Amino acid sequence: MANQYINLEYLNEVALGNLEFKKEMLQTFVNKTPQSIIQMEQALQHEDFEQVGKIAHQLKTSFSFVGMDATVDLCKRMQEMGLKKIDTHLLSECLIILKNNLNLGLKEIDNELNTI
Amino acid sequence: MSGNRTSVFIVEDDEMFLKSVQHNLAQNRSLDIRVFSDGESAIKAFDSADKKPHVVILDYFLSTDNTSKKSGLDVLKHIKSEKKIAKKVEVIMLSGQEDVEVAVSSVEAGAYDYVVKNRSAFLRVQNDLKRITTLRAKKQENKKLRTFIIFLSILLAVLAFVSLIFTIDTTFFGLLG
Repeated sequence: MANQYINLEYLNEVALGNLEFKKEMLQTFVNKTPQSIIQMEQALQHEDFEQVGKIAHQLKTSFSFVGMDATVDLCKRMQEMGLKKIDTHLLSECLIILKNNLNLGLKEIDNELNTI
Repeated sequence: MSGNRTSVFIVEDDEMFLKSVQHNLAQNRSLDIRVFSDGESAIKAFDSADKKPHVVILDYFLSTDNTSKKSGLDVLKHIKSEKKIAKKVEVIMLSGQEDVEVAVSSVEAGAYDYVVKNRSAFLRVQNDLKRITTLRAKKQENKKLRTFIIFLSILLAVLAFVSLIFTIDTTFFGLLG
């Protein structure tokens, strides 16, 4: 079944046909990204918007590797909000969407990992 | 590390990007690659290395927290702080997004190039490495050529001197008859 939320075209390009590397990258995403979201939640609770922006900045690269382009755009927006401290009241809602997108992506990545 | 190989440091705190750059560059067998996930460890390795890396690929936005206080720009400035070393080490700065200020501050601090971490980033880094390697090879050739010319000049001077002595000698003894 075709993926709805992730697109591994770019990762396949980067992997240069090396399935072990592709697997390693997907596992890194699975291990690291939820941790970053937890750190982002904690930063938001402490109203450390700059830290939220920094984490959003780092997450952009991770989401772009698995082709979650809409989530990359969301991270860009959150980065701006956090670092420039604008519309910070929207960050909580953005974080909910981000978590939801991540969960949807993770399910498809799990399926991909099982096929490698 | 042999003379023809290019040594590269990659300094990047994003694990996925670090792995992908390393994987990509590892296809080039003439590179010796070392990776670092923070500025401190990269500076420590740089300072203690007998042979400095030829190229440093460096993330501009290295995360700075309690354990890591060096940003990418700090690392770049450290590398470029000693003039003698600065000339020999090229730094390719990476950034997550296009930012004119970042690009300008990187180049002003002595970066060779500023590369945005998008889909064409790997190709751009590879091309930079090719140019740097070619330039280094040419510099080495020029150095060899300069040494050869100096050697040749000395040899000619010695020959001229010997010839002069010989001429004086034969003239002197010729006069004596």
